Amino acid sequence: MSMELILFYVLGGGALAFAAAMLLPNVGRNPIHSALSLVGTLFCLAGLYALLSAHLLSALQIIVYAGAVMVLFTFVIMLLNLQPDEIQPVRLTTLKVAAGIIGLFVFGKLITAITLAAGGAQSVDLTPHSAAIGGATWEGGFNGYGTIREVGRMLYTTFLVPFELVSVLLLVAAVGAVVLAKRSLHYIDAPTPPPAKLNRLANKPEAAATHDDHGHH
Amino acid sequence: MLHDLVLTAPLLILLFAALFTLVVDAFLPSSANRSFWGYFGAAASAASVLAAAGLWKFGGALEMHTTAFSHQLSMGPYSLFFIALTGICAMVTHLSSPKYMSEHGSGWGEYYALLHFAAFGMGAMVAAESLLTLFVGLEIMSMAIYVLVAIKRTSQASVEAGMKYFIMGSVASAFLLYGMAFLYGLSGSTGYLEISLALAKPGVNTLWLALAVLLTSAAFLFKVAAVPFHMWTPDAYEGAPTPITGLMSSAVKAAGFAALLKFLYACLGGPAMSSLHAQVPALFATIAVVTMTVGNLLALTQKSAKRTLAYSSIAHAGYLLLGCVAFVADPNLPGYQQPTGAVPFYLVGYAFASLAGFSALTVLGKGGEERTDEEQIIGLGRNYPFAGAVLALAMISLAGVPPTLGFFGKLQLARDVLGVEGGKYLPYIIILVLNSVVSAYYYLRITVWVYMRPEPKQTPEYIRETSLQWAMGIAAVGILLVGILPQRALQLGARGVASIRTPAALQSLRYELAKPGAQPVAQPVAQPVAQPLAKAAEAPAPVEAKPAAEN
Amino acid sequence: MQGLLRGLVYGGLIITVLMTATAWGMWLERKLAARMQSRIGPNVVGKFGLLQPVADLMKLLQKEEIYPIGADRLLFDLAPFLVTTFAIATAAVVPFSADAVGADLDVGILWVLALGGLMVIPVWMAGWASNNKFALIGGMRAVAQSISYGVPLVLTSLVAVVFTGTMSLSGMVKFQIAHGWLALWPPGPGVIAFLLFYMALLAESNRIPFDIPEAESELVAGITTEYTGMKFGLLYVGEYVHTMVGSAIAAVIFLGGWDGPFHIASGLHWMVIKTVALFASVYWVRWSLLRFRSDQLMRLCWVYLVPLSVGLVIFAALWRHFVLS
Repeated sequence: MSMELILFYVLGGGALAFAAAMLLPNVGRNPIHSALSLVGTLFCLAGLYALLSAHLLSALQIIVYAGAVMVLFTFVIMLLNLQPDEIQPVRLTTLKVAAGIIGLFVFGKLITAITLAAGGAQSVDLTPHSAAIGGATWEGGFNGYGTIREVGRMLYTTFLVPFELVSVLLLVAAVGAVVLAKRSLHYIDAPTPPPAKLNRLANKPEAAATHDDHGHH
Repeated sequence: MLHDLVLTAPLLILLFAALFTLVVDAFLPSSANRSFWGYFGAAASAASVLAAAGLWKFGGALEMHTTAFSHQLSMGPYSLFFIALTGICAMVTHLSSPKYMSEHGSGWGEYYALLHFAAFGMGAMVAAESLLTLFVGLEIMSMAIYVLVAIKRTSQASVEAGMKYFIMGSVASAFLLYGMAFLYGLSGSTGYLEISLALAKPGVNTLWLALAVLLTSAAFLFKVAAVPFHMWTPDAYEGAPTPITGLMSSAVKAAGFAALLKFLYACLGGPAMSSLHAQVPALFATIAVVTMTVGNLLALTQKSAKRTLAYSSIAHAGYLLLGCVAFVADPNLPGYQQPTGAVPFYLVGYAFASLAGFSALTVLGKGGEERTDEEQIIGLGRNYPFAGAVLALAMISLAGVPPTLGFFGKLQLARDVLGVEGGKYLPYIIILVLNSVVSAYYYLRITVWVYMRPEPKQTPEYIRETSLQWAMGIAAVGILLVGILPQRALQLGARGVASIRTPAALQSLRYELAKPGAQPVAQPVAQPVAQPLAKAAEAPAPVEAKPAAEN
Repeated sequence: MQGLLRGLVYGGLIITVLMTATAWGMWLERKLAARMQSRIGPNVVGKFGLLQPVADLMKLLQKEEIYPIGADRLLFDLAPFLVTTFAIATAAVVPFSADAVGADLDVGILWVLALGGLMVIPVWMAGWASNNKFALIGGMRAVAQSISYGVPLVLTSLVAVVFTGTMSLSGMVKFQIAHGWLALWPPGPGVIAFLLFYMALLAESNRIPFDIPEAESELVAGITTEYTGMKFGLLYVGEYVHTMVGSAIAAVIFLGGWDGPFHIASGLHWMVIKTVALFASVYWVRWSLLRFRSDQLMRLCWVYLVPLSVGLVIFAALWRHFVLS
């Protein structure tokens, strides 16, 4: 067995094991353990990317997923502070069973398709395609595939528009989050009465209605 | 580069309007009245519409290509048509917002910026020529709309609506990405045209393709609120601020359908889907009739006008989906006709009618109240005749009473679908007719509330505002104009549809793609906007029997 | 198989050298601190107290392992191990000389930043698993600080990337050999970028003046409060290794790596000298300055360091475009 193959099995098995651990009853009952298993899965995936000589993607995977996103995940889970005994035991409902059967069916179909594609005469050769990034030529060989130079060139030529659009998307998400989370509520014309606390703080009930309005901008 | 920037000007105007709003608003005192942003937004949207019209008119004379930025965006007639349509919808929404939003305590500058962002995202997803651009555009639009739905933070219904819409929408996006991953795996490309050519080669695994089609279609069906994925619609429509509900039922629906049609037609249509031609049209037709029936039947039982219109939008999604059948039909069968402009035309009609309806309902949002039941609407015709008239006009148009837009729209849809496979879908069209008869009941019921009920003892208060009246006026004029001159709108739509870059429509491009080692992405396609496409619209080019043979 | 063998040998070498260097790094720190405070420092065990690290190790190994009540045992055990592992793994891409480099990745700097980002997770695990409020607050502060200061760290690394046109650490050194050290050239911005990088590095490894995560006057000992024995030792060593490797990386990116001043006698020894000097300077700062308050720390980062480093990136791009090419 070559080095790559060994590493592939280690990382692939690791990814699967972490993914399974995320859902298993023992570990999965603790949200923190589930989240950390997810970090493990993502870390193994980063290793697989590195094996495919996509070093940049691998490093970015770790930075973005394992680092930033997972920290946020863990924070959310921690602030929720779910105790294991508060989590409801898993109960099988008809819907869940149906979903499971459908999922298994799709999974079986996928396996069949993969087997067919791997062995049958009707197979589609996926290898050269998956190496090509979006319509660029792969006939010219794999020069610089996965390197930072090549990815950068792609991002700033062929995929300039999606790349720039993503920055707009992030801006929209940031603006949206600020609007929904940070803006102070205007009670001027709102039908809901202000909280009782404000009533006590202010002298007149009418004044209480605008109490929260001008302070925090 | 300059060429690309000029070509994408309608989108860039919206983007810069959004950024301008955000930056300037940050420096305004917090107590300042933000209503002027509504007028500014309407002006910016109008500028975008004008830019689109200008490109449509002069693009050919300036010998411009239709695609920009390495074929990631196409700004041909189809995209321009829908960018103009969504631009008009955004304009009406901007105009109907200021008073309503400040009455509801959410008239922040960010609201108007997010409206611009939503319109920008719609433009990007309609103009997309690759899966990546499509997805990111769709997400920009959705993200902005999620926030806009939940922006009335003092209202529990609004926040709940936003939350529901966000969670279900995220699941739909995951479906879309999953389907796109299959398409990429099958074709090795993310460009519509490249995928279409790759899928036309023999030996494409049908199962993978079916999964890809199902998953991507499911995501779009969610966005346009078709039946298995319609659960979010009534709550989101009812909880959202009424101007935003108008935007969702007009622009979001139009953009969703426009992107779906282009994706189906350019990416999967024609030879690409040859192995699935037996199933996909039937699937769409079935979903269509189920959608329209469920939407109409549920609308019958509603008490609130806003919720009725939400279910009516599900029903209209069903009518439109039936029109989509023409886009996925097998072109190799005898008697095949290329789809005409029926779906775009219907979308225009529906957009104006629902904009008029929802902007008329906006007047009921006085004092942060949000009820659109019978008691609130009764007397609208006498106490606020203009709003009442606009609401009645919208209802008549939505019901498809013969001289109006809705009638012509359904007629065109039926003609398009009848051409598919020698009238195989005639039963479905009969169901459509029956459905529109059923729907007339609840539309006319609202009209009866407006005019033919005894006045209540106390007159409800309305939002009376100039910009809101402008919004109602523009929507009503839109209904009337397109109702009087349906042929013109139909022609524009047909020209748009004919300009979609399908492999069949782009035979001139073929030699470049067929050459071994050619880089289809790197070379600009010499294809002036106006002349060849105008010809194509007049006389649709005969479709090659096996366009992919030379690959 | 040869690759595997080479990896094992080199990896073993790095671990041994780093751990040894860190052990005597601690000795160095204690001696320096004593000097600054007019004390003598360790002087009993061995000549000049040189065997003190060995004695410390013996002591730690003999201590009892204690699990606090309600602790999450799995994470409690895992955290110290991971802290040290990630700190050492960062060293895999550091070029100590033209030949001595474990893995000359073309995205070496990203590897460093990625592992730096990953460090947050075990630190937070240690804080959470201890079931102790001081540890938890320490962990939260560490996470907040690392994420915030990660931004200027990435941006200042980006300055170096833009200047040198490469993300490979040895490529950066080669560029500096050809064009001059980045901390000195271009004059001004280079040294500012270096200082910012250095500050962010101090914050990432929770050193004074950025050590609120383990501020002993308010949080006992931060995340290490509940740890005993060798697990405490690993957490402690992990932080030192992090600082040591960070110094090595700062030396590589901004101080020319193995290049001698005026190219005099370039080689491994220069790298060692620079690293030890930077390492010692971290402790010089530690024993000279006061600690920031939490809000001051965040303010410093987001209001001053981040805009400044964005400006540096823009400057670097302009310089690269107009001067270098």
